[in-house]
Parts: sequence; structure tokens; C-alpha cells
Amino acid sequence: MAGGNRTPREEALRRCMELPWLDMYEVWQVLGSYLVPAGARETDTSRQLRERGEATACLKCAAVHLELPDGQAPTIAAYTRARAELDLPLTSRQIETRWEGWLFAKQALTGERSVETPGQRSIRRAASGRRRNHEEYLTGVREWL
Amino acid sequence: MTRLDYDAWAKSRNESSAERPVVVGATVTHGLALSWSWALRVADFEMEVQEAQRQYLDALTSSSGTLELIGVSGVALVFGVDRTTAQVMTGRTAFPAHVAVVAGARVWYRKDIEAHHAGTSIRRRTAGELQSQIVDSAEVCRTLGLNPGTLIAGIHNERPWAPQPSGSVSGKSFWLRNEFEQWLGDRKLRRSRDAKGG
Repeated sequence: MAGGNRTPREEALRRCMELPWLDMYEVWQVLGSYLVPAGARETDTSRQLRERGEATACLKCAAVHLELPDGQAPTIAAYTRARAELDLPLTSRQIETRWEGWLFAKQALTGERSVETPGQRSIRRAASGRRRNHEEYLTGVREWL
Repeated sequence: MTRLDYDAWAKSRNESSAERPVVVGATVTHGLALSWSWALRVADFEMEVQEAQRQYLDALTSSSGTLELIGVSGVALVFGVDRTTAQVMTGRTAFPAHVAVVAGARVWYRKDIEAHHAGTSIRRRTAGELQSQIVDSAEVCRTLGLNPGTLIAGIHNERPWAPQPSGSVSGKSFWLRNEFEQWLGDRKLRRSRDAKGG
């Protein structure tokens, strides 16, 4: 479908979902702070995102400390070494747990796109103006199954 | 795993969640031009939607027997559109004429629709040209003095007083007139034999 057929909201969502994870997270944070009054109860989703954001921030500190070039993330061993030197709050195991794998944490830091799950793909296509795609019809059914 | 189960879940989920609402089961089947069971197989990644639509079209066609008839659902599958779009398409003047109306639903020869889709020439037909050869459940009920529910139960339970349909199209059973008349003749013969025997 041509971009011209999308509504401004669909276009914004499409462009947002093309961003690297850290940028998407920042968009989430900015919009959240703008839309929700301070002191609102944290949902499970926002807690999980915050925890992942903290984990990625630790990883970024380690990468800067280790003077890694852009687009490169520390290995578990390198992170452990940097953590001891910087006194970072999260262990590599905690980062792995929050991201359900070191690879995903690394991809979030470097901006590399991870493979979408079918559910994510359905949501992205439905939200970004790909109308009447069969994925949109199946989003709910897949969530239900 | 029925559509009703899903609809109940979708209603509750849409009421309680602030997330984007999910569509109800009828919209799923309508949009994909698939029955619920086929839509579930696609949702479960058992097959791609195109493959499911191809197989479902074959199943629909074979259920109509030797005539290879399809309804609006079949038209949607041939053209790869949803049922609403197919409904609109069938109203256009250039669209092939339906060959009969079965229990209120227009039906076409599959080959005509496929040829029209492919842009090849098709035999010119008169709307309803097959109608005289088709008997629908209303006529069967009138002829046999049955109500629709009794006829359906009789067919389902294979009762001797209920003729088995020659096929179904768009979910509606139909009988070929010659087969139905043959069945009526056989029934008359059976009854007179039974009367003599009794």
C-alpha cells in the first residue's frame, strides 16, 4: 500500500517501528511522560520495558568504557570485566534474564533488528496501515490460541 | 476452539484491554474467505493463507458434486478478495451470470468464474439456466410435507424418509431434480410393496 494512503497516526507508527530498539524505547518514554501524569501506577509492560532499558544502559556504559566501536556490543566476559571496574548495578545474568538472551540485549544496543515474532509482525502491519492484510484478521486469533 | 469461544474471549479482551481491539470471528472468516476451521489452521501456522484458500476452494467445489458450483465464498477465493468485495463484484454487469439460486444464494459454475478471473472468454449464459434442474430444501420440504428441522435431522441421521442431498453450495443443500424424482419414485414403489406385504 502506498504511503499516501496511510493516516498520520499510521505513518508515525510505521516510522517509529523502523527505529532501533533504543530509539523506540526513548519514544515510548517521552510519550509516556507526556501522556501519563507523574506517579501513575506502573504496568507490567512498562516495568518490563524499564528493566530492559536499564539493562541496555548498563551494556552501553560497558561498551563506552571498553571503547568499542559503534555497532559493537561487549561479550559476557568483557561486560563482567567492565562491570567490576565501573561498579555497574546489573550482572550479565540479570541482563540476560531481562532480555531473555544476551543476543537480544546486544541487538538492542547496536540497533540491529532482531527477527520479529509472528505476533509482532501482525501488530506492526495492522498498526501501520497495511489494511485488510490477512495478518490483521489473525492477530486476535493467534493471541487467543 | 469454536468461533463462539473465540468471540466470547474477544469481547472480554476488548472490554478489559486498552490495546487495539481484535476483530470477531465472523470478520476473520469473512476477511479471509475461509471457514472457521480453515482460519484456525492458518492462525496456528499449519499452512499459509493462500494454500488454505486453495484447498478450501477445492473442498467447496467438490461438496457441490459433479456440477462444480460455487457461491459468493468461492468467488472470493478465486479472486483472492474478501466476501464483501466478492458480493459487490458479482453485481457488476460484466460478471458471469449465476446459473441458479439455491436457498436464496446465487451460485455459479466454478469454471466460469475462473475463466472470468483469467480474462478468457466464457460461454454466454442466461441467469438461472440451471434452476430447473435444482431442487432446494424448501421444495423438498413442501413435496414431502416436512419442516426444515425435521428434514435436516433426517438427512443427518440418514433416515429412509429423508433424501440425501446431491451436494451443497454456500452451505445450502441441494438435490438434482432427476435424482430427487428418482428417489420419489423409489419411495412410492417401497410404500406400495410394504402395503401389499402388510
